[in-house]
Amino acid sequence: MRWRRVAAALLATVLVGAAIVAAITVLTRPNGEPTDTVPPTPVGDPVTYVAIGGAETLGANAEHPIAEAWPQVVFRTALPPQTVFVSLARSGATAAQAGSDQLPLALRLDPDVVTVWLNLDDLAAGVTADDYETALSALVRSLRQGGVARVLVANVPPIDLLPGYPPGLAAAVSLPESIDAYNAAIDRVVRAEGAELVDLHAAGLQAAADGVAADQVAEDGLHPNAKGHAAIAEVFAQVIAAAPVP
Amino acid sequence: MSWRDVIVLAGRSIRRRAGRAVLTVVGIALAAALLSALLTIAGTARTRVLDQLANGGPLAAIQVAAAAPDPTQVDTDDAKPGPPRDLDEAAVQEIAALDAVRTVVPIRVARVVVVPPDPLTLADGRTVAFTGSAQRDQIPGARFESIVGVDLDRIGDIPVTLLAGRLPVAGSPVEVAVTPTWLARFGLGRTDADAMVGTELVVGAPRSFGRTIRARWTRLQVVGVVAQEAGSGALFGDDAIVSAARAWTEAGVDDDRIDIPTSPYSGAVVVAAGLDNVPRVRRDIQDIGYSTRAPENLIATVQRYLHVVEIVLSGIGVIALVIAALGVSNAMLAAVRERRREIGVLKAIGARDRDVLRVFLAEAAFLGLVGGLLGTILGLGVAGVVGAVVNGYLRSQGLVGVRPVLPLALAASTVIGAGVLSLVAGGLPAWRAAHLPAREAVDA
Repeated sequence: MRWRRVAAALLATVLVGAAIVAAITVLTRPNGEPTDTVPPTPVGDPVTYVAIGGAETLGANAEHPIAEAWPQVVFRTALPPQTVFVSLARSGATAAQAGSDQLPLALRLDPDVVTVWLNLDDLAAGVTADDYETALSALVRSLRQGGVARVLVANVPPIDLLPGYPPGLAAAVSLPESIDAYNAAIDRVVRAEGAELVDLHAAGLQAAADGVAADQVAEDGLHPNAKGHAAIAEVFAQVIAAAPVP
Repeated sequence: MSWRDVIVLAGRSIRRRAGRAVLTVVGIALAAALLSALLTIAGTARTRVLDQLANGGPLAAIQVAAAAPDPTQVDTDDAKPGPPRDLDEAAVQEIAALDAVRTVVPIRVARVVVVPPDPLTLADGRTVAFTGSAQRDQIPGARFESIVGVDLDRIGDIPVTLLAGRLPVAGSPVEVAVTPTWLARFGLGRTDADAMVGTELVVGAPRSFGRTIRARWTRLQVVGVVAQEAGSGALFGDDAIVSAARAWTEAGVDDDRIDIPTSPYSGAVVVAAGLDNVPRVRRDIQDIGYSTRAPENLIATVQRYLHVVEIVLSGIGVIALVIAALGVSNAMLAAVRERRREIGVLKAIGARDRDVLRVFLAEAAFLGLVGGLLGTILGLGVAGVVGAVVNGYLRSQGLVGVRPVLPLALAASTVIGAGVLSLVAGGLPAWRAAHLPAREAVDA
């Protein structure tokens, strides 16, 4: 019996000692060892997003285009973390010019998602709706035939309502009629080529009705400011979210 | 007399004189505690100092630059590189084939545009503005930075010290660590390292198309803050990220506005097979034609001094143990005097001299082992408390803390050593008891 008591006492001493050492080990953990760490970011298949467009896609007139341009906002907020983004936009690009300048590189990048906003520079250059439709159709068809799963095409926002277009000026150049003709063409191209429409026109009208349109325009009264780019990005994001990103 | 009888008699003696036994054990325990605490602290300090010298990587690591060696700098630890020289796969293989080279880890660096959130909302809710440098306005809202890429599967061979958070997952295209250089862009110091973890950066590799520069943008989540010596850069991530960025940039046309690297690798970390081989490997690499850096002289000097410190501390601990052993000897001598009659009775009933010797030696050994065990545990505890205090100070300075090294070999040696020392100390009293004439003992 005594042997058992002695053995039990020794065992208890060793166990208490081991517990003390273990506690000290835990309590003296040095800093730099992860306690609250960022969990590993789940990464799916790589996604490539390409933006084709003109000055608005470049974020011209934004204070910090690299951070504020709507494609950058779309890239940061509406697409998976593993997305790679390249903007091929060029200031002043019409649909026909984009077809020769931006389309070849876009196809070489093998994108999964492409946004196309090409109409304002065509309008400014006086391109007819028919010629515009032909150029846009060729571009979108090439993208779809090149394997791009999702092609988002933006229509013409209601720029005739912008402060930079006094009502008289807009009417004098038949701007509303041109916008309608362009948007009808865009509708036809989207339906024919299996693309997806980004209805900036409706969104712009809504913003005007809500009384927030003026807040989204830069001082020149024509181009979007940071808020405007964010609003544009939101419209694109809603279309992206409506279907799975490949 | 069987060993069981020996142990029973020794145990009875200890119980009858419990107070003296406890005091003896306490003396041995304190000495053992001192020895184990000093050696644990010395071992931890050694590890920490050498780790600091190696910048978190292996001690035998040599950094190779994509540059020719400067003939005036070949023997210095921090040699300045000579003119640039491309470091390609063939050169890496040639270095890897050298004698005494354990492994070679190539490093790539890419020049990228980083768009920081400005102001930046940190994980703890504070907002800080991007202060950057005058270069910021070259690209409004962004700045050029270098990102260092290594194969993170081989992170153990890279001089990297984790300051906060964790390292990026090997192969991850979306995770990155930042360095104190990045913290400084926001006016933050190392003590704010934790706050940067969890933020997101948008990073673009530039490519020239002639008049136009287009970037290939990716989103990178900051998962940690590191101090690293692998390459010069504010960002640190897997080679996959850097390789993709460089491939995009290098596919463009020559353009003065962009740094297009010519060398396939920006550098390499070479790990020699042992610290002793570092000088030879460095010479061989320099003969191949590349500049190297390694803190070999500094490490050797520091190791010598640390060894001296360990010897001194060990000496102090051993002296304490010897003093405790003298206490054992004194207690045993007193026990022999008090138990003369008992010894006489034992001998009268047939116990031999060696049986009496064993009883007293067993008692001494038991006191020594128990004292050694308790002292070792106490000593490790003291080392842990000292480590906690030191960690508190290091953390307040934004530095990596220490972890007390718990060497099992040391612990076992201290316990066994205390037992053996007590055995030796109890030897003389035990011998005297064993050779006490029976008649004289009974008449005492």
